[in-house]
Amino acid sequence: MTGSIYDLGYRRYEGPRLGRRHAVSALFRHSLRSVFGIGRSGRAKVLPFICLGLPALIAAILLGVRALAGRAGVENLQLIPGHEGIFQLVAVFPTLFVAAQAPELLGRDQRYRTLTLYFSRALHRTDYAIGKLLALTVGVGAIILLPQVITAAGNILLTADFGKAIGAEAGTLPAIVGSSAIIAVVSAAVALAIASLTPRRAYATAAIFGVFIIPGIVAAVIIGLDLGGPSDWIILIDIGSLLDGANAWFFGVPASGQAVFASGVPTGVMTAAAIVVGAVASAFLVARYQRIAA
Amino acid sequence: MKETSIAGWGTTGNAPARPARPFDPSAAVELQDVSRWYGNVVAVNDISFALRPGITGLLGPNGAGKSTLLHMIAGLLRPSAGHVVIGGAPAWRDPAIYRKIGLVPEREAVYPFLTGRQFALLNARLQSLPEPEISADRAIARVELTDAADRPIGTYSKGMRQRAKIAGALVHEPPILLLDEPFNGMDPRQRLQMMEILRAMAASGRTILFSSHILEEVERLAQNVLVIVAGRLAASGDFREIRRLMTDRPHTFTIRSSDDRRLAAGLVGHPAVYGVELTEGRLSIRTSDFGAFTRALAGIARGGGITLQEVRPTDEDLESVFGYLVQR
Amino acid sequence: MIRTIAGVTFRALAGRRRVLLVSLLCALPILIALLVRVSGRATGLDSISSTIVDRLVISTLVPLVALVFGTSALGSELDDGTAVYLLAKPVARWRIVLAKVIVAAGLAVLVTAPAALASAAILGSSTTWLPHALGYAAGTAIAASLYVMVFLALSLITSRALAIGLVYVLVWEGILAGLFDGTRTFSIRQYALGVAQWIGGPGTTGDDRLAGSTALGLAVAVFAVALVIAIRRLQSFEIGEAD
Repeated sequence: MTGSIYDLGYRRYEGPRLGRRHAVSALFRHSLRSVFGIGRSGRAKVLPFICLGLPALIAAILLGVRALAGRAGVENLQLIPGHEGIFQLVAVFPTLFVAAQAPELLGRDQRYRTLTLYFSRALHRTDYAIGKLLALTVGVGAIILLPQVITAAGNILLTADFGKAIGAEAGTLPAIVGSSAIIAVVSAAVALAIASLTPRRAYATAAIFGVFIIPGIVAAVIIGLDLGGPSDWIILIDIGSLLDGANAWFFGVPASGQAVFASGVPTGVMTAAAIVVGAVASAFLVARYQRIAA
Repeated sequence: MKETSIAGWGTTGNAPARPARPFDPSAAVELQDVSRWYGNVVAVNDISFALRPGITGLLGPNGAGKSTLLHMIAGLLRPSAGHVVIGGAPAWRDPAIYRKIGLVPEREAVYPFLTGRQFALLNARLQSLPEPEISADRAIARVELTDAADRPIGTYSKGMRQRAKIAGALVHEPPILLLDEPFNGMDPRQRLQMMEILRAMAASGRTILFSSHILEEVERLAQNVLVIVAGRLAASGDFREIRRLMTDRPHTFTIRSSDDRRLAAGLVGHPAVYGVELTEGRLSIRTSDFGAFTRALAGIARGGGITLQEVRPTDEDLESVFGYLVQR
Repeated sequence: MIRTIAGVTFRALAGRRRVLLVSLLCALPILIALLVRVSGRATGLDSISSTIVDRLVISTLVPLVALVFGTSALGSELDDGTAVYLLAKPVARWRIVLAKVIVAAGLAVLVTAPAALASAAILGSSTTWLPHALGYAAGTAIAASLYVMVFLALSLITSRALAIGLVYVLVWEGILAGLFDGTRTFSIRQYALGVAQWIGGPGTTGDDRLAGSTALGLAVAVFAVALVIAIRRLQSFEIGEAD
């Protein structure tokens, strides 16, 4: 009995292929969805949506307080922060968000070896890293921008003179965009850089928290010591303070965090340092994925 | 052959507990009306059987519920309904049954930094054996892992890891052995060796249950077969017996004779035959009543002066049986 | 039996990289304390020492370290299902839990208590440094053990033990427990500080703390409750198909 092969009509696909750009955008969209838990179980949505909703809620509450105070005749409450104060108010949420979601983005692919699948497609290794970075950045950006938008809406609606208010808001737009961008990119890049080191999501989360929290406490202690001179520049190791300083620089106000203020380091320097940190972290992330075994 | 009933599978609520029928004392493991569901998905659906000494193969497609069933027998999963009884006592929540059971799960071995010998030793100690080192070495020798026993399990190939797991399960010489897809990743020679080991253990009176979706393994090793399809027990027993009992399926025979065409003409007239196919060099017959057919065949051949050279049932292998069962 | 399980758990937890990282982390407070001393500063040392040990060690380092050891002592095996090798043995479940707790808590205490002891000792005044240091060490040990036990129990209840543990540490201990006095009875940090104050004598931690015996009693109670919960969950733990 001889063997034979039967022609079942199998044909290769010769049609158009969508190529690299499409692959990257598909990765970006998929990552953005998974960062907010969309397409997964309900439990996966809890934390992202808390991080998204609470800051907005806080902004809305502040707005309400301002409106009521205005009704009561009290004007220009200095205690209620405007755009420049939003970040300090809700700073814990971007940190919580990236600490929880950066490992989600990177951990599964490392653990279940799906990186092989990704890299054997039109997607390059760099594209993978940058795509994930963009997705998480947009996620954090949304968390920061939502309260800003609410505050802006409040500012416009609570004033009698619409035109002037809209003009004022448009004036602060560059500051809002700039500060939100830096906050988003730096938080996302640092968290992803750490998360890329291990497939175990639990450890990555703990490490990210450690990196964001511990230097802050150390810096606060050392600055509190009032040792004077160059020791005050220790503030630069604390990412939270760097972002606070950058935020202040964009809005042209003094930094609000206690330790940052006490250190006397100019906010411009902190902004530059923040940018450097973001760049280094992104570079590390890309380099890591160039070398990772798939 | 035992069929499982469809009636009795519950919804997401609690099914009323049915009173246990008396358990068979001669069976090492017995299941009565065992079901398991996860929310709306029924993984195991009203299964009853008894395991006796010897080798039983649990056969089914992937996702049929073999692993779930094995884990319930091993006391690692609680049945949503029904009873799993080992030696007269329920299997769930009773760590003492593990003196009697050796489990070889499908998952990777724990602690990849342990060497093969240390892993077997760990199992021996956890079993509170009086001489753990000796038992561990004996188990290692039995699975022929002695050469590699001092390397970490993390460096083993897949087949070696399987053998390390089996050594760990044999270390306390359990009377019941449960293996979940044990031949995964083994090369043919290792598989034959493992089958020999299992046969020897069964011959000494142990009860062995192994699951597989590879028909040849089950056909070669198992004396008894349990076929699971979609969570239900489709058939149990010797697979040839099962075939014979499937009277609603036509049997297929291949015949070679001195004059196929005239034999075909003669057979077509018989009421038991309803399919005749003449191809080069042989005759394929489909019949609904194989008893009557076999009796008629001899008569028709002799009457026509035709010599029968080969009469072979074509679909009595496990694959055809399985195929029929899955399609039901 | 407990020794066997403890031995394997120890080898699994005390991997080289992990121990290195954690040790580096816990050298941090000591370094800062040294820095302060070297700076020649003489006043307000007690409050600095309190800041270092309370805010840095007990409130941040100990929970993080305990989180890492406590959730992975049992959690990593439960997560990938290899716990089946441990559970399919005729070993009483309480022995398994106890062995894991002893190793994980032991490691956590071993890593964090010396840091607290050394920092407080370095910064302590010549008369009170010993009792203060001992008090802080005891408080840290209590915090570490308690956190490990709670996180271990948590890892048996949910696969997201780490996330929930972090939220507890950050939100509850960090923010809320500081705000409302009534929450003191439910805060591990407060138990630790209460014990530290008790052993170290008045003035150890500065603020008004829970009475020492109360703190210790509550700590023991929480530990016992978490232990019982963990044992009962392990007894009914179900391991299904490999995913």
